[in-house]
Amino acid sequence: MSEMTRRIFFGSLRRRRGRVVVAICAIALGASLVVAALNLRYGIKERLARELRSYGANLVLVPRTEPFLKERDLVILEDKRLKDRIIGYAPFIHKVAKVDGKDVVLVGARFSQLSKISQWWQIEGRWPEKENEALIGSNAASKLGLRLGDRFSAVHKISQLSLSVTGLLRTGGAEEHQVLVRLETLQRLTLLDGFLTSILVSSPAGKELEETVAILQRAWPRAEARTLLQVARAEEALLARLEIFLTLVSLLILTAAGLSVYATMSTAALERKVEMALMRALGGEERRVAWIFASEALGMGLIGGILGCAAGLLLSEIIGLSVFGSFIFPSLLSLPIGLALGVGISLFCSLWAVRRILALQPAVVLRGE
Amino acid sequence: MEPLILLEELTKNYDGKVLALDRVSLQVYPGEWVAVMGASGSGKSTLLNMIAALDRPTSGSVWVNGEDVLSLSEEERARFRREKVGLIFQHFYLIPYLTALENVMLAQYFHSMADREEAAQAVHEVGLEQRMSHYPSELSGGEQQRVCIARALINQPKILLADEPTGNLDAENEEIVIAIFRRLHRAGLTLLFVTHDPQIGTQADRIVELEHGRILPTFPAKALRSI
Ligand SMILES: Nc1ncnc2c1ncn2[C@@H]1O[C@H](COP(=O)(O)OP(=O)(O)OP(=O)(O)O)[C@@H](O)[C@H]1O
Ligand SMILES: [Mg+2]
Repeated sequence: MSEMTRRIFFGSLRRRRGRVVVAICAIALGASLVVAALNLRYGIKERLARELRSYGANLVLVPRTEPFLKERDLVILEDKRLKDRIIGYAPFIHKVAKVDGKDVVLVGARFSQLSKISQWWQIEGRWPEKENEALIGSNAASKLGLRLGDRFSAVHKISQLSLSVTGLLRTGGAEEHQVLVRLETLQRLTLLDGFLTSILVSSPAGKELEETVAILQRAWPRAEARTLLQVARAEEALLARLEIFLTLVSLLILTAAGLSVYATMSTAALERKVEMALMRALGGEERRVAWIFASEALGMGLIGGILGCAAGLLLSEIIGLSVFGSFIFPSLLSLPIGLALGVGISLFCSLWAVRRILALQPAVVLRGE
Repeated sequence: MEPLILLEELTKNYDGKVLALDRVSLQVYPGEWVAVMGASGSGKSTLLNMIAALDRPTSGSVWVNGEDVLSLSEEERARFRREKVGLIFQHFYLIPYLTALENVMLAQYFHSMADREEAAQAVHEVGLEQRMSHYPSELSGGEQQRVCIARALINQPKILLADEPTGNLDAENEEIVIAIFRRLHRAGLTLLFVTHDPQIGTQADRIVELEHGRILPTFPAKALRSI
C-alpha cells in the first residue's frame, strides 16, 4: 500500500469512526458466533470420536438405587459367562476432598487395571505405585499450583492424607480436573472400605455390546450398565442443540451486521460523493476510485473478521469448558471461514453504495450549489 | 500556429430541454489567457466541462492538444484529465482529511506517483510553505484556493481551466490569486477561466462572452480596457 493509499484509507476511516466502529463490532460479533459454532462442532466431534476410538472402556457400571456398589460383587465380572465378553475393567471411587482449601474430585483407582484400558492417556511422569502417590489431571494441577514431585495433603472431613505427585495426566476428558490415588487409599480416607462408585468396562464392540449389557444387567441387578456411546450420544445431542442455537443467533447477528454495513456505506456514498467526484475529475479511473471507496468496506470486513475470529475462539473455549468440560482443539478451518464471512458480508452489503459511486457524474456533482 | 483548444459547432442539450451550448466554435492558442464571461446560466461551466472531458456534448467536436477528446474511451478521458488539464473550481473541493500538501499529492497519486518534494515545491510556489501540514478546515478561503491551484499545476498540464476561481474570495485574496494567474500566464501557460467580474476579465488577453449558449462576437480585452 502506497503512502497516499494509506492516508486516504485511514483518513476517511478516522473521520467516520463512530459509524465504522459500530459496523466493525457488528461484523465481529456475527463472525465470532460462526467461528465458535464451527469450532465447537469440529472440536467436540473430534474429541468424542477420539474418546470412542481409544476408550478401551465402552461400558460403565454405576449403582442403580443405592449410593455405592460393593467391591466384593466384582467377582460377578469374573464369572465365566462374562469372562470372555470382558477385556478388562477398572473399579473407582469418587469423592470430593479439599486440597489447600480448594474442592477437588479425588478418584480412587486400581492403577494396574486402569492402565490396561486407558492406553491413550498421556502421562508426564509415571503411574503411582505406592500408598501415598497421586496422578494429577493437568487442569487440577494448574488450579492447585502443583508440579511433578510436589507434596500436598488432601483433607476429607476429619481425615487427612499426604500425597506426592508422580505424574501429570492429559486425557481430553473429565480426568484432567481430578486427582487419582490408589483405590484402598481413598476408601480408607473416606471410611468407605469395600465400596465403589463406578466401574469402567472394556468389552468387544458391535452387536455383542448390547448382549453384554443385557447379561451384565441380569447378573448384577444392583448395578446399572450403560454404554459410553450413550454418554457420547447425549453430548452429541447437546452439541447439536447448541449448534442450532448458535447458528440461528449468528444468522440474526450477521443480518444485523449486514444492515449496519449497508447503512454505513450508503451514508458514506452520500458523504463522500463530492470527494469521489473530485478524484474522478483529477483523473482517477472509475474503477480505481470505486476501489478507494470500497476499501473502507474491505477494511471493516477484515478488522471485524479478525476480531470475530479471536472472540470466536475464546467463546468456543469458554463453552467447551463450561458445557463439555474440556478444551476445544481450535479448528484451523474456522478462521478463514470467519474472515471470509466478515469480508464477504461487508463487500456484499456495500455493492449498492459502490454502484452509486460508479454512477457518479463528476460534472454534475461538482457544479456545486 | 495550431490552436491548443479547437471547438467546432459544439452543442449541449440537457434532457432535450435546456440548450446550454448552441453551436459554439472557439479557438484558443498556446499561451493565451482567455476569460469566459456571461450571465448566470449562459453555459460557461458547461463549456469548461466539455474542454476538460468531464462531460460529453450532444454534437460538435472538441480537439485539445491535437487529441479528438470525443473519440476517447472513459479510461482515456481519465488519462486525458490527469495529463492535459488542470482544474480549479469555485468551491474549492479539497479532501477534508488530507493536509494541504497531501491534497496536492493526490493529483500526483492519480497521475503517476506521489512525490512529497515536488508537491512541497508547488505549495511553496503559491506562497503556502507555512501551511503545508494544515487541514483545509484550518485554512482561509484564499489559502484553500491556492492549494487548489498548486494541485491543478502539479502534473504540468497544457491548460489551466478555472471556473470562477475568485467567486468565493474577498478582494485581497482575489488579488493574490489573480497575481498567481498573471505569473503563470507570463510563464507561457494557456489559461481559460470563467468570471463574472469585468475587472478581472480585462486582465485576460481576450474575452469570450456567452449568451444563452452562444458566443457573442469576440473582441480583444485590451480594446475594452482602453474605453
Ligand atoms: N446537469 C444538468 N442538467 C440539466 N441542466 C443543466 C445541467 N447542467 C447545467 N444545466 C443547465 O444548463 C444551463 C447552463 O448551465 P451552466 O452551469 O453552464 O451555466 P453557467 O454559465 O456556468 O452559470 P453560472 O454563472 O450560474 O455558473 C443552465 O440553464 C443550467 O440550468
Ligand atoms: Mg457555472
